[in-house]
Amino acid sequence: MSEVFLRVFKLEKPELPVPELTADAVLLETGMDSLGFASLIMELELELGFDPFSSSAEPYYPNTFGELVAYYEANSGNSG
Amino acid sequence: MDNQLTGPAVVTSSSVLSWTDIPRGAGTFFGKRLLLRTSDPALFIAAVAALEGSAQSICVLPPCLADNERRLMVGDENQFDVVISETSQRPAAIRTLADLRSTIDGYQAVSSVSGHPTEWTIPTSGTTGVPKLVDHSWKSLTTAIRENKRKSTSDERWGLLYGHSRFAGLQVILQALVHQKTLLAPTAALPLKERVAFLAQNRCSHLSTTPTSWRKILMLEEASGLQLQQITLGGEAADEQILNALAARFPQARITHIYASTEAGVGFSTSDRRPGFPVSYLDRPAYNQVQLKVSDNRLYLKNPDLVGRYASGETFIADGWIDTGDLVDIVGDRVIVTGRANGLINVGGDKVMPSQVRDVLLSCDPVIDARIYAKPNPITGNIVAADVVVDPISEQGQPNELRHEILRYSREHLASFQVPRFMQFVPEIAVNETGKARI
Repeated sequence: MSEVFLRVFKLEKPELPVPELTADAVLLETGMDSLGFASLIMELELELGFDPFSSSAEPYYPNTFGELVAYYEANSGNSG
Repeated sequence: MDNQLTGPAVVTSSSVLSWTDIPRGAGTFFGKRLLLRTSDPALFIAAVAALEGSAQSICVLPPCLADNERRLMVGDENQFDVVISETSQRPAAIRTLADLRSTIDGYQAVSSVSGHPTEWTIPTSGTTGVPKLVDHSWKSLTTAIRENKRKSTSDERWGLLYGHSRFAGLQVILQALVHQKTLLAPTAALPLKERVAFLAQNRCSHLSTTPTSWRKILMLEEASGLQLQQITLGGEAADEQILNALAARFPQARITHIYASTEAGVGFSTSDRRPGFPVSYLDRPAYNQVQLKVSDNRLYLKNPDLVGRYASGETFIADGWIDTGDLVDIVGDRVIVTGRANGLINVGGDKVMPSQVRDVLLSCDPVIDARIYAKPNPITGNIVAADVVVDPISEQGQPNELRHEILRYSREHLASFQVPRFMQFVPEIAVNETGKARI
């Protein structure tokens, strides 16, 4: 997860310093914008084969990096 | 002025204006043609109040246009009687709130005796090029505001997250001014996090922005400080997920989805927390006197208040109807907006022209063909997606590296929202593709 995040981050925000991805890092404070997150979800779908945001009926908007990771882990069994 | 008004009129990141700081229909501007372009929300709002019903015409421009774009839109600024802008070169320009006050000082309000209604021109978002200027009248700008008959509470505080010179921003400003509610206008250049913190600190109760911004707000810790009574979504279709998420986070709030554009004004609104709008809206005037019809899966709208013309003179009304350019499907008892007839892709409220993206991709060496389409995305509603055919020789390298190379190239030549966020290599693009967005 960190690896994909940082790869997308470097592509999306090459001008910004790379953030430290601790579990309680606040996602919107990393410098990534909404297009960056859109991109991250797309990259993760290519990498992992699923997108929990689109496949889940319950809306969820994670606040921290730890919450994002936990959300993907919790939903990894739901689809291919 | 209403004696019961207790709260301030406008709170910005750097100033607080009382209702006596907001002069209405100032006589000094009677019959004048004005250009209004400022990045200061307090100056903008005070000017709107002072000019409406007094000036002959008000031309609103976005504050951050390049000189050549501005010339393309309005020509020489000297054709205007008064320019309100901190960056104007004209010696007599009104640059600050203090300038505005000293210009107005000593003149009587004329709003009640003005014989000629003020003509407005409002810029489109211009995300596909230089913004166009759309003619409006006080009536066409206030279709939704006059309709607003709900019982208002005395402590309403309206938050402004849209740019103040955009149609949607002006709607928020006029709502607050007409109903004499406090307007909270944080500096637009601040990060969303700081603007939301400002709104929470100032007890914002009514907030209007795009579904994409709402998704971002829900990701912010500062949002927990918001105590909202009214949530409004506009600028792009609202899906079930964001409506449910807002309902869960703000259980006390009324949630309204507004269908509007700079050209068509406010079409209609729904507050039933479901995507799309009821089929019954097609049978009767849905909102004020606005009529709707669907023909060939396209949504048309009729509003007698609309001028229906760009400032260039080009009209966009035929037999009273405006072609909204939105494609719709009727699903059960709902009409659902599915995309744009011209293939424009709505990425978080910004419109992307697929042909422009395709042209850039085709100018990138390894690419020999490309198809651009919309792909649904939980954060921005849609993102730009591309099926790309590459030169077989380049394809022998690492596909991921090649993909990143094409994306890097796209970034250099396109605005961020136009850059494809999903790209796959395909052997060929089917010949019968019409180029329409696949949504």
